[in-house]
Amino acid sequence: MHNLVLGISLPILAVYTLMFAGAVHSSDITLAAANSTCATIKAVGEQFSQTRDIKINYICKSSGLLAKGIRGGAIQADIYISANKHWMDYMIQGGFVAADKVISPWGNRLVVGAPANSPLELHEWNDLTSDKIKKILIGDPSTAPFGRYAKQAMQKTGVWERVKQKITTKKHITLLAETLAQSDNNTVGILFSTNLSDRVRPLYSIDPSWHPDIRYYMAPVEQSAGKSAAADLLDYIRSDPGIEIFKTAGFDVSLQ
Amino acid sequence: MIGKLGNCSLYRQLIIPMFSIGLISLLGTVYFSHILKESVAALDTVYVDGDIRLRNLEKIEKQVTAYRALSLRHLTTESFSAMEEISQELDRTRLAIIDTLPASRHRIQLHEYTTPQTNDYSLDLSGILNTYFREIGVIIKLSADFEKEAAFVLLSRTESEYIPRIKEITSQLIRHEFGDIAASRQALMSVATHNLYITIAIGVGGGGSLLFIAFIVIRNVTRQLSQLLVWSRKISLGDYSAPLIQDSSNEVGQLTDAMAEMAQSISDAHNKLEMSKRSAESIAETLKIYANAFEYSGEAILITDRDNHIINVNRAFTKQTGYELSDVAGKNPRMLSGGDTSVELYREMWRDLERDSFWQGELWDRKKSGEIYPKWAAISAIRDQDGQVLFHIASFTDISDRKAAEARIEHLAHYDMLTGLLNRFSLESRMEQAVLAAKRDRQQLAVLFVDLDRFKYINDSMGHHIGDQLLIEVANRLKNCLRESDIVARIGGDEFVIVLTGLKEMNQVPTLARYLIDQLSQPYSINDNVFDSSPSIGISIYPNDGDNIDELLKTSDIAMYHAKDQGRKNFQFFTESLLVASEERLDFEHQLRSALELDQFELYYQAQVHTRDSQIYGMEALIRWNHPTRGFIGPDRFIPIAEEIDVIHELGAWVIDKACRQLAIWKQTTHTPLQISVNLSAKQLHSDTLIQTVRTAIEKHQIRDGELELEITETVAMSDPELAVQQLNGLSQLGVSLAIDDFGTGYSSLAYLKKLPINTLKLDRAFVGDIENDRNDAEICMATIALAHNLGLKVVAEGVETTVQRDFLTEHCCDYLQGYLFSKPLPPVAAGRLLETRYCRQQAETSL
Repeated sequence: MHNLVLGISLPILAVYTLMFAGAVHSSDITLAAANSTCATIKAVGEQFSQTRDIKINYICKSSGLLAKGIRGGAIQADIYISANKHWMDYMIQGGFVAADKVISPWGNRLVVGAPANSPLELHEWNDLTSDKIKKILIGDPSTAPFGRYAKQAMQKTGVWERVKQKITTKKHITLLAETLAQSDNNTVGILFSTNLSDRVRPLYSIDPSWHPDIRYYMAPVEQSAGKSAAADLLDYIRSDPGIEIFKTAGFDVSLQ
Repeated sequence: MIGKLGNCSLYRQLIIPMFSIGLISLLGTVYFSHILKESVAALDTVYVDGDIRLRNLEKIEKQVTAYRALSLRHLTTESFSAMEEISQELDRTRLAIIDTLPASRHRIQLHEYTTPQTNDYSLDLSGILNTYFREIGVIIKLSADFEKEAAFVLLSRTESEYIPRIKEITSQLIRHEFGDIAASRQALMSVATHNLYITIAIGVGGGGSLLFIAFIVIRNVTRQLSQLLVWSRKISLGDYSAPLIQDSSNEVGQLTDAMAEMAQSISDAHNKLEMSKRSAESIAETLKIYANAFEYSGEAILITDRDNHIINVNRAFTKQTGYELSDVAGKNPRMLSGGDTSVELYREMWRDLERDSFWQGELWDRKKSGEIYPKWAAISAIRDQDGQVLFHIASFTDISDRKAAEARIEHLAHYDMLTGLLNRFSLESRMEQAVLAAKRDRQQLAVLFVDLDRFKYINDSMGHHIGDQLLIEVANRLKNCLRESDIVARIGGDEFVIVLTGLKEMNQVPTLARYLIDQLSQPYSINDNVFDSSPSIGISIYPNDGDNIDELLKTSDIAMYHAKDQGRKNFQFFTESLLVASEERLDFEHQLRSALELDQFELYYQAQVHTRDSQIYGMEALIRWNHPTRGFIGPDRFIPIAEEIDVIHELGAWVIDKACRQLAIWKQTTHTPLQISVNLSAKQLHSDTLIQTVRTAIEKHQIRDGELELEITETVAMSDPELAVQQLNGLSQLGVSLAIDDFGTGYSSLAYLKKLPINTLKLDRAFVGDIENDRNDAEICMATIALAHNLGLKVVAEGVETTVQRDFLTEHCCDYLQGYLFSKPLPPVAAGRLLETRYCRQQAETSL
């Protein structure tokens, strides 16, 4: 049934876009996704386009840089995924996203991680202040939500001022994970649990009550040219197979 | 005392008082020149102090720039420890600035010549700097708390609020400082001048006293000497019995004694001499009269002996020919011949002399200087009682002046036969006099070049006879309009020239020109026909527009043609720009108009690469004019002119189409994504056909969204913001990417740029060049890139030429690079080959 609908709608869509958007390729969708969802959303997209003649482009950056890029005009995207509410609100204020189209399909958890081969142990949160740990990597609180959550957690538990001198920020989470994997034995990083890998192991799981709920927000971009194809993709991401991939990747898929 | 002095020896009378007064003046002079030296030293201190204060201000300016750069670097730093270091550096810079500040104020207050204003500014500067530092302190705290976003926002606000004011105050201070130095210098100069006057006064006083004493002594001596003189005159007149008074024992007294003895011996010798003198005198008197008559005669006279050798010439001869007696004595007068006189004439001359002893006629002789000249000669042969020639006397008159005058009268007769006005030749000679007179009296002249507008038409259609009548009428009207002293001439066809002399007020000229136009435009009635005609008048002014006749006529002629261009029946003054415009410009414009048809334009392409791996992502199309004789001409030369003569729209459309076609070809052959960028000029952006032009090209060549980028300069975007926003939005809707071309002029514009649908900033090559020259300025600019990224714009750096620049730009996250380091602009084929390789191999750093 689904395929049938698509089978009819796609040629119509193609004609439509050819007529109104000149030479734009008929079935391109551009996804601007928060870095932490990048790998997972690509997996979903791959599954989605297996059965359809649709090419999906991905732009993965921190949620803040994506939001500004879209508002500034440097980034053209059809769907925007943010790792916190702040940047989605920013898009709504700019008129780039309709408030009633925003959904929040997944959540995430924050962990303290270390290079896989590091002998470092972290028994309790306050150990961050100990001399064993010389450097703490977090996301840039201004643009990367996982950095904002990390800072909020440290402020709430009162360690922020004591550990601040150990902190170095990174623009986005894949960069942080990569840097952390190559770091020495005195370095830890705070990142989403979904961005752990065989090169980065978790040391400590951060209590979710120390920071606001970590929720992702997704919405179609209003000025998008391929609205129908984007709507299809959005539906697919929210469908069971889509949700399943996110669940496997470690995201919290319980509905809010 | 003076009386007593008279009896001392002259040595005592002079040396002692002179020595003591000299010593006093010397001491005085030494003392006051010491004081003078001190004031000069104080003057020097003022300069040095002023210099120090100026240098301090410059230092403050520099350090403020460094402080700005540091604060920006703090904001772009990710690691806390690195931020700590920068913040220490910031503190050090801040303290250095504050240290420099009170030092400058302190010195200013101490100084007695300072105007109070300077202090106010200085306080003001330190006040505003402190506020600025406080604000930055808050920002740094935010940044250290990893709230970069908020810090950036605050920083842009703080920068735009304080930096212009700080700069303004600093430059005012520097201006005042210069004023101060001048004021102090003047004050000290007056002190120094005062001291100098005293020193001179003492010198002059001392010198005066010396002169006075010398005067007294010399007066004494003179009195005695004059007695001696009166006596000796009496002796020389023969009164040898005159009494001699001797009343002094000094050197003059001794001289008097000696002379009295001498007088006696002279008296004896005199009596003997008197006898012989009387007889000689009467003979000389007679001879002298004849000699003078010869020597001082106004005519040149030459005397030869019987063998025709020159024996004497007089002064007038020397004056006329240049030959002294010593040059010609003993020679044959033939040497004077210029060779222009016929042999026949000489033969006739000798025949007459033989027969009548007299000949006169015109000879062409040569002066000593070589000049040939005509002279009127009268020659007499003087014979003794036997008829033998004793000598010849020849007298000559130079008649070259008379000859020249004759020639000129002949030319002057050439008035214009038709109108009775002066002709060209006499115009020139009259103008020559007028120019000389004006030069002498420092007056101005106006030359009016008058040309009849439809004369040729009237002449051709009605016949020469009517044309001639018309010219006569025009000449009459001109004469009626002008004063007797003005020069008016017809120099050919329907061209008249008027020269106004003795002008006191230049504003008389336009008034007269208007009057002339009015008079000459009245209908002409000739042989029952009525015609309309009117003049065009070009005006040039001596000495502004030419200091000789040729130039004045040429410039007024050019002005006249300008008047014709301006629609006839008007007058125009000559200006320099007319000269340039009239020649080169016309030529260039003409060629530019036809260049598109002749296919003389070419597009070159310069690669733009990804910063991270030098992969080519785009090409900038650059236009060149391949001029057949001048070679390649860059767009900066011809685009402004193309804008003026409205070729730009056609040319711009050609460029956009050509670039799009090239892109389509490359897309097919290379199968890689590529962006092509094209520059838009101001007039193009403001044209209402632009959107249609771009749409046509995009559709024709199947260009997709984002593949075509149009570049405009910041100034163009700012010149008419509303229209720019409207046009750019239109282009943006077509899927065209937009870039600001010469970005880098400041923060203020960044706020405005936010309103434009811009995707790309192109960092001006000047800033890229600054990376190696002025690191601080470059850092500020690079931090601006960070802000641009924050607005979601991508950044392209232009003119990257060295690896140092590349590394710096990479470090500061510039997205794309363009420049000779990667590739120079290439013709399409070479650019295509480069595209196939996909990556730009970096060129060896040539000696740029």
